[in-house]
Amino acid sequence: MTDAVVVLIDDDPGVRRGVSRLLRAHGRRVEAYGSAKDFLDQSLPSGPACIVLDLQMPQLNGLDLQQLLNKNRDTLPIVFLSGHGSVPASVRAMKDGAIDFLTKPFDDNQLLAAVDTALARARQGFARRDALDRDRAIFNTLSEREKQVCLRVAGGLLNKQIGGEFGTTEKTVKVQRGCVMKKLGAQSVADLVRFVERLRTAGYVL
Amino acid sequence: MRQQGISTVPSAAWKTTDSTSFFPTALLACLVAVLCYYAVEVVSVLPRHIAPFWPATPLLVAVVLLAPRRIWPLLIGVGVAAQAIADIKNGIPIPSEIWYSFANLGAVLIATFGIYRVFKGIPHLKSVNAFTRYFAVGVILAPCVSALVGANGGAYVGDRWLEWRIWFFGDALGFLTVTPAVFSWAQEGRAWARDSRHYLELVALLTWLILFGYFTFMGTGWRNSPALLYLLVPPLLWAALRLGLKGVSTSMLVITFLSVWGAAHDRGPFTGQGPLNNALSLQLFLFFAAIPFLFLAVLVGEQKEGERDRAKMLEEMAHLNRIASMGQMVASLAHELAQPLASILSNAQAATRFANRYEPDLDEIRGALADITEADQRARALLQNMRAMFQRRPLTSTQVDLNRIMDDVSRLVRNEALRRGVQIRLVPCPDAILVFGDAVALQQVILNMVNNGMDALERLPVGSKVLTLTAKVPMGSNFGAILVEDNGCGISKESKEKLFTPFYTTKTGGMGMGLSICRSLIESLGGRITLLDRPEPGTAFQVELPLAQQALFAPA
Repeated sequence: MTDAVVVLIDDDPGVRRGVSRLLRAHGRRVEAYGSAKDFLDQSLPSGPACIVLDLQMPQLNGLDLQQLLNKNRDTLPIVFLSGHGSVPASVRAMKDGAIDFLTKPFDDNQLLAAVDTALARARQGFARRDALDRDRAIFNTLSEREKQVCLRVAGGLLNKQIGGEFGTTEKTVKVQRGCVMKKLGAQSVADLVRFVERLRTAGYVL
Repeated sequence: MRQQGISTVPSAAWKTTDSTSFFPTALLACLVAVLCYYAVEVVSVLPRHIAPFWPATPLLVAVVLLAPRRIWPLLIGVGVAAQAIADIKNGIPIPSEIWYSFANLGAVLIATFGIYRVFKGIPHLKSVNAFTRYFAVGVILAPCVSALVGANGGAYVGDRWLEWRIWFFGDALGFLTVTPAVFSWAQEGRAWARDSRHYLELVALLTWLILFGYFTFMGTGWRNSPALLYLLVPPLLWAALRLGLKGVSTSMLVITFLSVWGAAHDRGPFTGQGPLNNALSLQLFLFFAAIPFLFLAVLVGEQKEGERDRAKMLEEMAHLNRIASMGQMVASLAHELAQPLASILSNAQAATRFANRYEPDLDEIRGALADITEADQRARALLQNMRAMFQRRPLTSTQVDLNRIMDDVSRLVRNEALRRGVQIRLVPCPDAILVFGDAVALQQVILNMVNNGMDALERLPVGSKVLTLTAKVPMGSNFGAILVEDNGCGISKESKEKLFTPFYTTKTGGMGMGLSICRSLIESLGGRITLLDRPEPGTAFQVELPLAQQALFAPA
């Protein structure tokens, strides 16, 4: 995809220029920043993106930025660069979900492989987010009552029980259930359950 | 060969040849013979038995000690024989001359072997201790024994005690002036090409002494007054304080020769008491005039040597301190070098890719090459700085920009500061501040203080540790200053007083050398380090150095 962007954050201008050039030679779009703050001041990239991040920077350093991004659940896979190669830092970075940890000076193939992996993961994440957005939109087309029915069916309740809870007949519930399945495009109860689960794990409170 | 740190003996050339080749030895023997003969001739203006000054024997001893041991018997034999021949030529009867020769031989043997035993080689009369030992052997012992023998040879005078006294002081005076003079000149070696001002001073002094001596010792009438002799004190003092043992002994030789000559021609202050008493007065005067100034010269020399040693030790300690602190910085340095190397590699590999395209992108390639060059130059500057830090070098005084120093130090500590969670704030001066100093030493001092500052901030919570470096010219002063401030735990009152003393430290495992070395370094550059009084918690050190250009700065 041509709208994939590599965000490069390193406080050393020489390294910034060199790595940008390398990424360009590999056919990638690059946005380079001199500090984490400069990056955060801009709005996040709209398409899939990954970050190539220097570990030791004044003020907000690489690991802190990683924490920040993780908290906000943003899908920006990170490739770390470091002039140090200290083991504790690299372990922590990897545990917190980094794609790779490279020590300067690094070989171009290493970096480009890591960046490609990161971008692939970013695309996956993007696709997943798109799908989730779509699911949510579809869910919101249900009426209030239909939403309630949907959730209870996914919870394993029988039509009779649902009818009892709402004070309607079993037949009404059956009709509503049919509408829900049609709108959601679910072929079976199992599909419905999976749909609801997807929304729930993505963190939507239903 | 002999061990006593003999580094600059010019005679080392023919002294260290182990082969006893015939020609140099014969040449040396002839030289000795000639020297001893004329040493006798020179003082033969007076009849032998009242020669107030006998330079031949001390001269022989000096030359022998400078020569290889192997040929000592030859040289001693030749020297004593030459003296005998000269004496006989001057009319000394042979029976007397036999006594005299044995006396001379005794003096030479005792002095030579005594000195050799005590000093294990050529004496380096560099300390009062050494000079005293030389004095005991060469000036007292050898002439004493020699006089005991020689007094038997006097055919003219029946008073043995008188003869002994004259002989003793004659020899002693020689050992007091001639031998130290020969040794100090010999030990200068090639050094005399280096310090021409020093030698001009010596020549000036000697010229003055010769003129004065002529005036005093050759004077008649009112110029006979012994009070004039006190005018010798200033030049001798001058020689002792500034020209060392060499200067004093040479001056004394000049004075001795002039006074002896004067007395021989019946002029000067030592006349009118009869030849014997004249001679004795002269000897006593010379002997007791020489002693205090010689000792003073040696003492002053000892002091100067001590100063030189101290300066060298400071250099050594500063060097060690630098190396120790650079060890801490190695991680920082590795990181610093990694940056330009990464830039170079990425640029080079990118350029290769651009070059391998169907249509190579020349702009990108040119850009890459430019970046590579710049990165390499950065690395070079870093390496040069590292090398300078590691070299053992004396302090130089050049113009240094304090803003640059601050910048360099901040780069060196960047890593360490990040690791320890310390924020380093830089407040440079908008204009450059040029001071006289040594860039490497300054970096070292500021680095030391920054490290101390970071230690002081250890216990503060992360995020609130701030260390500020400011470069400025304090109001109305002729100094440029760098302030190192931290907002840490401050320094207790007792510590404040002991702060700069060596080996004082409150750190476990600290050596306590840092601040005292820093102070010594800065002070030897003409600056000072002060602890500033601050009301709020924290510490502030001010490092000041003399401004290189005074008029350009308005008070900050």
